[in-house]
Amino acid sequence: MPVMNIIQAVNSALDHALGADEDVFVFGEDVGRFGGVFRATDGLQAKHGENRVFDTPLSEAGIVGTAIGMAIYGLKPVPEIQFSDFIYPAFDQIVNEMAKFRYRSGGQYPCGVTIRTPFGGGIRGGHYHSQSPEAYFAHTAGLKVIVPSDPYTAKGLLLTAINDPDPVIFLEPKRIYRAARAEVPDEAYTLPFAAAVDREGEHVTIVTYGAALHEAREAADLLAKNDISAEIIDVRSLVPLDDETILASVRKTGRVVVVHEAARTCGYGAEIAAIIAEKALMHLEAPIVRVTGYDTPFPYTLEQQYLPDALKIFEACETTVDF
Amino acid sequence: MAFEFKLPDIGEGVVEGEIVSWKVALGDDVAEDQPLVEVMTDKATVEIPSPRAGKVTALNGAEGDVVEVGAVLVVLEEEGGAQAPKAAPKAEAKEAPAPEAAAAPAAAPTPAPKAAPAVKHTAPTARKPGDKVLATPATRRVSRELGIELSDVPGTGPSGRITKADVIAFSEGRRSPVASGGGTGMPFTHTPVPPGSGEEHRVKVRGLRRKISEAMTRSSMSIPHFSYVDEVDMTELVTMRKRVNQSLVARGDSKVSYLPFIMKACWIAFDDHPEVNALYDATTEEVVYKHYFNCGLATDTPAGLYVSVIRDVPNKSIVQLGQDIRDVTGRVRAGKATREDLSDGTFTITSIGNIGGLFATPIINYPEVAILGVNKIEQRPVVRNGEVVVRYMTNLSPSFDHRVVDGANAARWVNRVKELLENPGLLMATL
Amino acid sequence: MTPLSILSPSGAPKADADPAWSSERVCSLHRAMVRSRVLDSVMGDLQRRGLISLFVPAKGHEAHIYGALLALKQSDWLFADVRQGAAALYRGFELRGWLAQLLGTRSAAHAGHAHSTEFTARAVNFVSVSSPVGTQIIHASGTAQGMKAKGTDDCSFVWFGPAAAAAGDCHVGLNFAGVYKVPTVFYYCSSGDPAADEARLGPGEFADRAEGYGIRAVRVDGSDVFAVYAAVAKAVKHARSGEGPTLIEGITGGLSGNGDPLTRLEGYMASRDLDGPALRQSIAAVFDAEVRGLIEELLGEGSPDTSTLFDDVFSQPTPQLIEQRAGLETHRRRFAGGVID
Repeated sequence: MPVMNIIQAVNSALDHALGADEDVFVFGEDVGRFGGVFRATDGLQAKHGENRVFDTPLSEAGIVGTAIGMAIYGLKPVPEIQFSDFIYPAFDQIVNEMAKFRYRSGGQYPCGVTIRTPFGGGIRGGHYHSQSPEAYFAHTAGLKVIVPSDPYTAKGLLLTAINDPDPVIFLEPKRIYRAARAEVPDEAYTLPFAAAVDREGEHVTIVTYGAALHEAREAADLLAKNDISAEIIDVRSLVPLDDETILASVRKTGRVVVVHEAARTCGYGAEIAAIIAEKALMHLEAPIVRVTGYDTPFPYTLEQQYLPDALKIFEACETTVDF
Repeated sequence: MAFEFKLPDIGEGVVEGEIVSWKVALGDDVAEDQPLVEVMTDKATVEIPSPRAGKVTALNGAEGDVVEVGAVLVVLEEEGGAQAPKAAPKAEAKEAPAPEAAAAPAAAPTPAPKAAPAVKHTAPTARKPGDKVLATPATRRVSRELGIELSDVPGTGPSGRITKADVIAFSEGRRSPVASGGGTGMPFTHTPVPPGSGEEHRVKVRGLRRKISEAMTRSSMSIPHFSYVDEVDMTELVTMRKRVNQSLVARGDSKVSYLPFIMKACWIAFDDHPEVNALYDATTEEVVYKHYFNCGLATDTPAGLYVSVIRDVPNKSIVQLGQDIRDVTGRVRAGKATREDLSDGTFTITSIGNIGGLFATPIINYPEVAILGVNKIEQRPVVRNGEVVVRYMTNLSPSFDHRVVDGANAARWVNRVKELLENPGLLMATL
Repeated sequence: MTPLSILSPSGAPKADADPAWSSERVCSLHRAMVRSRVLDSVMGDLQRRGLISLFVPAKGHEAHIYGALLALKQSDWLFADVRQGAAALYRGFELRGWLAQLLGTRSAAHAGHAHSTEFTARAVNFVSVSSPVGTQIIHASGTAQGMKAKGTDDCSFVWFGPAAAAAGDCHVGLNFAGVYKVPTVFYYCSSGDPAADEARLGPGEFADRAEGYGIRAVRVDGSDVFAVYAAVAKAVKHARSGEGPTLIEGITGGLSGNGDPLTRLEGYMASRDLDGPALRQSIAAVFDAEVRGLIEELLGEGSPDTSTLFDDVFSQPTPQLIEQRAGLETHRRRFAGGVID
């Protein structure tokens, strides 16, 4: 089985989607001729043609609005927003139009757009190339929010997203675009929008998604050396949320640490914590702990201090065990 | 009223001490805890504080005299008539091991599996009436499932928090038969004494006394104890130790007591019976085998009964152990014990017979699995090769947790200990 | 740019400009405009009765709407704002269903999810209307891009007014349309109040902006239904042949300009010996009765079931939605007494 990084996995998914369905269109800034600033769409225009894979003007509202027009017409547009930090000009289109088309039309106008966008920090990009905006979209009814954690999940989840008749915000953890490598099947396959147990453990559950999953694995190794066995849940699908997988783990271990890069206040971790408190309270041996970015814009020089890393996760797990 | 202060038993089979120096003179007014005398025993020179306030009316013995444990050292005339005795000097038989001081929050060095650092040795913290019951949601669920009122359960967690283990132990305690004289939360009823038949007075059980009481109750209620007794011929060890101590003293070192030898013998015997050096985790129903040996020593202190912990017995020499025993119990008695001095024990030894008695049935230091009672060494007639001879004999009276240790294995372990003590050369050779 | 007009202010056709349609065609156009006028009056009543929250009268804009619709085919997609909801009816959307959507009652296709001006009619390719102004401009371009990519000769048609014209999405939509040469007709309806429009968009003719985007532009006399028809027909032909988008600036009659489009049409009808006013009266009476009868019937059917609140968020409800729906139903059962929805 080939080993791919996330970029290759995304490229493979798009290639499959374009090849399998004439209604799939891929577009965005520098997506066509250049192949994408991260090379995610490399080679696709040459292979599938300018009609199917094309460049757009630098206008996120236009990219998303165009995608909406195509989706309600019955096509499957897969626009790219080059950095999630720049998605906000399209926010009105996403929240007021894309998310509500199905609901306001009583199902007459499904709007199956899949917006791909790199997110997260750790690439020395500062606050306009490092943001994690998933909470805004998770909070908007009618949007699905998907976050792969590695090449295998990236390809499978993206193919599911493209064929999903609902709008999907597909956030790609750019810090590990190349660093994360995994065996990825050559052929097309889909993964469900559900959480997965990344590692089994006994004493504490780490709930996370995206690049932070890799920090969690490192933390779990450190914990194991200290006789603490951590279970890791990869959320993958923020909306729809597979809360049962998370809750089953919490009932088993009684201790939870939620990890995300995005800022702490009203981050998605708060939702997970609330659900755990609602549905697994009587299994908790310690308070729910969140390890997150800080309530600051994403810093440039001190970005490694900002990011939740293995040591912070380790320490948080320790406090739940020592409670 | 005259109070007789007797030379207290400081454990470890000490039977006598030498008066090194008096700290008070006849006629002095002494305060509670004021140092009275410096006494040298086999193992240490200790400063002994006064348990009461009063005026010194008698000093029994001159500097240099050897006094027996239990002999009256000082007589004090107390002020103001009968006072409620505070932490009375432990002249009573000390057949029970003491819990560790609650002052040291004994977090496990590494968290144990599943119930994480649940295996703590902290004594239950006194909770005052009206205090909020502290318990995590998971513990509350367990108590609900077991039908237990949390406010009835003593808590051993931080700030007196009730842990899941506490709830389960309490639940098991309620299900086991009531020990004689033991309380299980049932109301205290008695026939009031008719007026004129005699006096009584009540003393509130609080502080360390209360902690001890709770620990004893918890241990005896949750652990199915069985006792075992055997006699050991200590003659060769007595001889050997005397010679060893002569050499040590000549080199300027301190003497060693019998305890280091006994500890080493126990350790070697654990080899064949590791279940004796273990803890029992009731919440997960696991026996936690310890691959190291920190030996608890029941220590009588002015404040009360503590368990001093001598760490890492296997890797220290007899002389080193002797030194450690002096150091640790010294700190414990002085109220200067560190966390390490009072925690992480895996097996406990208690000296019982200094005052008297042949053997006893000590109560295990929860959640350990066994405790060894060491009794007095004295000369007794025994039969050897058909002849009656006089040998230095002692009784070993361990108690075991019958969930973990079977009678046969207990006997075999004791046999091994006995074999090593009766033949100290073998003990040395097996170290 | 001189606005295109076919009719004189009175309605008589200008010399050599008579569209020479059949009488049936003229009357059907007239009928649509009359019925639109009736709906305005009915909706005004409903709003005064508190039965609908908002309505935006099409009065004065009938030429923009029906002149354009006549030039489009059924497979061309319509993108309206809150004013052109009746366009769906013209295309054949069933009146009862349309009124149910207006009122948000039980049989409304969107289960009362949207409010009274936000119609949806997929069956006639009328895209659901939304309140944020101008967003539909980009959608129209996007849909047309899809049509072009799929090789059809369909086009998209979008109406918008001065508020949307000042919004960012208007610029973005026109920009994209020019870049991709999409088959879209962008129809800007001025408000009829030049001073108000100037306050929003500055002086100058709106149609002039098209050149900057590389889009052809036309100005029309917006109360001359034939002129509107002609402009749209030409723009649509342009689009279908792959020539790209057109921006039409329809200058609305009304307060200033050239008067009421319906009156002007009736003026034309007179020149064709058709009694416009008489027809208007009878058509209006019949339609008014029909509409009001249906409204009373619909008001009797009550609100949609509470559970429909949770429908159509996604293609399938999530576990969270299912749980929330169940929670609300349980709550209502407990406290609603004998009242069921």
